[in-house]
Amino acid sequence: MSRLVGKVVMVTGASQGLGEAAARALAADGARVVLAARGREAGEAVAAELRASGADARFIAHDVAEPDSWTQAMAAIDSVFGRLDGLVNNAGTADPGPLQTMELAAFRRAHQVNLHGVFLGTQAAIRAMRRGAAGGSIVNISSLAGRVGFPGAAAYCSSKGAVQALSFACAREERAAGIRVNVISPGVFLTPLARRAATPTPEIETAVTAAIPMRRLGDPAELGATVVFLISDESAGLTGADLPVDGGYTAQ
Amino acid sequence: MTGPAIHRAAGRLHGKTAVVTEAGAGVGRAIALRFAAEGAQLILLSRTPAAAAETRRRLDPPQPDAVVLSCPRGDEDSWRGLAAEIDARLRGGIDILVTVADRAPEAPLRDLDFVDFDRACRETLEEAFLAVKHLSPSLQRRGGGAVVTVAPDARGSAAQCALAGGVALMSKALALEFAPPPAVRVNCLQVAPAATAEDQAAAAALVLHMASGETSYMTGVVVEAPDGRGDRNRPNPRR
Repeated sequence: MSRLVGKVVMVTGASQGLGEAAARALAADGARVVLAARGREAGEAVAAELRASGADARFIAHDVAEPDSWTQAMAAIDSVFGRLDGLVNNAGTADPGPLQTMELAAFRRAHQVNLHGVFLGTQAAIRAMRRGAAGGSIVNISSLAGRVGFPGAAAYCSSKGAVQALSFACAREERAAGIRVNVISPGVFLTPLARRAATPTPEIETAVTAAIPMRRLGDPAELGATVVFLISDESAGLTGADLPVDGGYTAQ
Repeated sequence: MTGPAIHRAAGRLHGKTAVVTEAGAGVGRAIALRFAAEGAQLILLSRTPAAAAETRRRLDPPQPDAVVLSCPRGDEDSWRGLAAEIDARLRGGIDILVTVADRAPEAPLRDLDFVDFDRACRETLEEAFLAVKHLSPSLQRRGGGAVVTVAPDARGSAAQCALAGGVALMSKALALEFAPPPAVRVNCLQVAPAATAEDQAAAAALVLHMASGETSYMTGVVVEAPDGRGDRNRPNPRR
């Protein structure tokens, strides 16, 4: 398949987990992929592997919570490609803890990455896409936890719910400019973040798996096709949508 | 970890068998045409088989052996017979079922005859119920598969909304019933009436996405198709 040939797409949090899977799927469909992450070694390794398979992929060290980091990333993309067609705001953090004892600093940190990072990225991408005047597609990765409350995850749920609302508003603001903004709400996938926050022990993983209608966790590769679909022109006209990919969890 | 298995020159539905109901016009025909282009082997149903035969004539690449059958009108025995006929023709079972039931009266409630509402219930909600009930065993025999229910407009008239909601929530419940392995995934697409060819192609692309094996972890999802009226979450201008 080559649905994305010619498109330049940036993916945040691309060194591992869902971001890595998204970058792989985008590259496999012909996109020129910019893998952004804080983890240089892992990110460089993924980019090098994609290049070895014939893809146009490059890594940039990047922190979604830092405004300057976005300025630098957009300048680098502009100088190399002169265009930006897609952005996947995927980078996220999860640091579970009950609200009653949570420090405001921890609450704030979750939002700085999960929400403010998406705000900064969406804003930067819109500015770049409006300059290019060819429209674009932004995919914001929310979560099952943006739709359903989970005990011990108030900060994560709050930040992910806000990502959805921000995306819906932005979709309407940018519709006339041909810039689409959609959301994917993943369930529990086999990723380092989920391992740490959602399934830290085998007992908890068993209980979590039992609560998922499909009775299994998601493989990150199973998310890639939906990212490709939303970035590609196949989904032209679709904006302000939220596509859950959660093994049926939110259908319950 | 490898990329998704979507890079076959043969098409994204190569080797898959798909049943599309009401494939003789509109969004059903658009779905059939797209599925054929992606390599699916088709079974086309319609209440007017001549219309489905016309869809078959337009398939590209040509598929003269695509099966065209008359879609039963609401009685359980006929659906049972249809399922038996499909099983006789395709011993391996089917991989994809798309129930197209998107037409419902647009008149406001005060102007709507109950007879018309009742007929719309039969042609949308009840047809989706019967199709999934009688064809899902064939999906399960293949070791899983996908159902996409195409439903009426969730932002339209009272009748359209009632049936859009009915099909959508039934689809979620079916997604849960069929979720344990080997899963048959069930997702729903709500479409506005009088869609343009472009809108129908966009709806077909969404149905393809949800029906293909690429979305193997997506089930119980309800999506509104783009329809040129605006974005997904804006207020309904008709109200």
